[in-house]
Amino acid sequence: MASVSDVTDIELARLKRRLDREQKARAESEAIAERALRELYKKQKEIELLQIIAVAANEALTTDGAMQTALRQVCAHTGWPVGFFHLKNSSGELLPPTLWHLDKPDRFETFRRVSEALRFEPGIGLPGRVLASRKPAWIADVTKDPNFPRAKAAADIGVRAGFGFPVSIGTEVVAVMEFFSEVPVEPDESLLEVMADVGKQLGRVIERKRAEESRDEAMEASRTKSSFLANMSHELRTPLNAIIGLTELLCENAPRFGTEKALEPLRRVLRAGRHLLGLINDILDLSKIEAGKMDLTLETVTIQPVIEEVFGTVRPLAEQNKNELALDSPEGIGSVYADNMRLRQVLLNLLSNACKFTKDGTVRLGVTRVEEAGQHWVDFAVSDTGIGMTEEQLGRLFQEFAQADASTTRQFGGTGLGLAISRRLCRLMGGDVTVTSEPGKGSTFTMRLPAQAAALTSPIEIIAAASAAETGPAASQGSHGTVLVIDDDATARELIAAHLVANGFAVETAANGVDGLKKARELKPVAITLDILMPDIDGWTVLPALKGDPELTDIPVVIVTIVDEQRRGIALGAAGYLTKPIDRERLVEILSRHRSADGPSEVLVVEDDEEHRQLVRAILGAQGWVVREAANGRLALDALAAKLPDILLLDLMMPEMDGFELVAALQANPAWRDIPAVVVTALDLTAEDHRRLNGGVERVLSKNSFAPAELMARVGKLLLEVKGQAKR
Amino acid sequence: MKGVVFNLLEAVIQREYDDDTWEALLEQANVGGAYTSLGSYPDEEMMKLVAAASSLLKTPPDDIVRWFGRNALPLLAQKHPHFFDAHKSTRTFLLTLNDVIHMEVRKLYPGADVPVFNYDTSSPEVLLMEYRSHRKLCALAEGFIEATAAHYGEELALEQPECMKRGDDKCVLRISVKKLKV
Repeated sequence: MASVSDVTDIELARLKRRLDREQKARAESEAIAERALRELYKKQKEIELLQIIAVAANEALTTDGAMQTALRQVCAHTGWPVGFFHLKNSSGELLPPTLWHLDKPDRFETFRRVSEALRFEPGIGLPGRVLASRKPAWIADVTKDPNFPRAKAAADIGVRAGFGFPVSIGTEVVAVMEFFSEVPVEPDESLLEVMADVGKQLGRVIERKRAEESRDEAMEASRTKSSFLANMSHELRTPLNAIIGLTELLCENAPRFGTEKALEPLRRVLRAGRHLLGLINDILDLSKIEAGKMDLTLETVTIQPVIEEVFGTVRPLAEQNKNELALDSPEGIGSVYADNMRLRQVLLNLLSNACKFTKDGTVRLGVTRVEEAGQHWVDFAVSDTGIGMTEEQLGRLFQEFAQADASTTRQFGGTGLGLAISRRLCRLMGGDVTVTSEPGKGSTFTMRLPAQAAALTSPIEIIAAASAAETGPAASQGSHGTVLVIDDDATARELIAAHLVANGFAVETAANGVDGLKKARELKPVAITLDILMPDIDGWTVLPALKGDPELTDIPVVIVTIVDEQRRGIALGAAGYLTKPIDRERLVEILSRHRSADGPSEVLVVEDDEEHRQLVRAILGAQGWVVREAANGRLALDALAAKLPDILLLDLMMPEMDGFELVAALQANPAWRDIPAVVVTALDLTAEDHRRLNGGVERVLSKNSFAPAELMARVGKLLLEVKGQAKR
Repeated sequence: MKGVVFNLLEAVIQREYDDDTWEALLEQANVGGAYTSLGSYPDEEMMKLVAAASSLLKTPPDDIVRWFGRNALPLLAQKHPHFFDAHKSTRTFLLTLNDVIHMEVRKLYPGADVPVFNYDTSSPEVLLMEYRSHRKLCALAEGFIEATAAHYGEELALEQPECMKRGDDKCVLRISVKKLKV
């Protein structure tokens, strides 16, 4: 058995050395582990810092917000009390810092003032060095640095170490950030690497802001352009209208004016004027489409009347070239979902093109319903037996100002804009225009537009139905009768109901059309308010069902809706609507409806343009109207005060008091409210314009065109009126 | 040089000789001898230890280094078997040195200055490995390769047609192996 004495001194000494070595190795490995942990912790903090700044850079609402967060976070990370930020201006100079983070603002006030007062050229001072090198820079002790203009202020206050880094977009430095500590600190390369990343993140913020600014500028430019075009087109069209109108007069009344000999040149003037007007209209359309300003009123349009009207217009053109117009459209082709006016425009464009490029041939319009991939469409195919086009010509066909070849314009006329506009309009309406062609044999242009399953009656008819309903006698159930509110929107139901209850009505509600019809039959209410846009069956379907039921047909229905106010607004707000140049037949026709039964009828023409007034006077005078004139809205009010006309013909853009203001004044005066006003304007009316014209006359109220309180007041007033009539 | 190499040398000496031999080597080389695997120590200390072993064991330094490699490899194979188990032959194993083995070494021992080999695999029989290092430890590589062949039960033919120690700008290890008949 071994004993302690067996262990020799040599062995003991050896063991001791070994133990020493082991202890030393262990201490060393612990130190290594601690260093690694510290490094890890630092890295983690740096990553956190980067994350916070990345989030701020992405989410901050303003550049300053993101920069302020970065200053605060970097100061917190480093424990350094001073941080600030210089923007670089467009000529490459650093601007004085405007954003600061200061732990002790009073203490660093002098340093701040000095930093704000100095200008740092590239290479000068800390920010200048960063700007020149586009890299972070570190100064261990600024008071000992030869290139630090603020050294004295720093020494006085106790600012010692500093670092700066670039905020950059790509390689471009857009700003410089500076940070300072109160004690000297040796350069920390890994911190500077992190700061370089921070600078890149912040660069993105500035990059984004620049993009937003240039987008805003572009949008502003586009708005300016649009309004310029609108105004310009008005300025161009006003004299052009006078030229066209007066030339027409000269042509038609040639014997009276003694202008027979000049007839041919006059007709050329007329043609040239109309061509110019078409060009202006096309350019305006195109620029509206490009500016995203084309307001379309999509609705269900019954096809047959549209075709008849367009054929009527295009027939003379077809006859000019001895073309036969043919129609392949099945009985009951139904309707298409489109903007009524634009649908006509595109059809007219395609048909008149076909007539223009075909001689002694046939121009055929084929209308078919098509189902493709579950979508229902209506195809309008216009085919001709004309000159046709080559592949190469087809390729350029829909581009602006591109006709099949340069000689086309000379030979066939036209602006070269029609097809480009047609295609864009169709695309805006959810469809397209396509073409197939063979040179020498002819072309087929197909306009495809979405169909709508339900065959709805046109909006104008609905209004008539609604108006008729309101004037009909109501089945009274006593002074506080029940009103049925049909609306899918709970808030709307509550609002309408609250107002009606406050006015002494009992209210029943229905959240959909089916329920509404059922309740109407059960309750026989004194009146019904009806929403148009509802799931299951909509208001357009409920209304005929109500009117078709003998027991319900006399109940007045008030439509309360947000649907499609634009076209309806025209129809309701004004007795008629004409655009310049005046279609004389339409003018005469509209006015004839308002002729008084006895004696000569009187029209008051409110128009600032002298030539235009003359033109109207000539047209209407020939029809036996007594024409009075007023050069602006204010004079018109004087004229009205003197004597009431049978009808008002009204320009919108006038000095002193414009057409809108005049309409408002008419509506405000009970004696004038019922004078029909026909708007004559070269102005392209916006939805807002329509609404302004739409004052007071309507029985259809629009949810979105009135404040809720006003809406309520109107609904209540209407119902009281209806009740009053019923009692009488 | 990383402490882990010194630890390996200590383990090999202690296993093949005894504690006293390691003590004697440390004394003869006049080095501290406290090595921790994660630490870094001057290459010079390793050279001193090799020189001491050379004089103590009366063996040329390169042979000491080769012997060290041959005996260190089984220890490594024991500690990290999965790097070896993934292969069945010396050749495929050697081809993983740059991308697998030394990659792992760098992860575990930050700052490890491991060599990068260039391979010539144009011949299916003969593998050419180029070694360049200021340490000129081609003998260590030879020792490792010899032990690797033994690990996979292969007969090895190893030559160095070029060697930095003979004035070439690089060492070329020409390796061919064949399975031993069992």
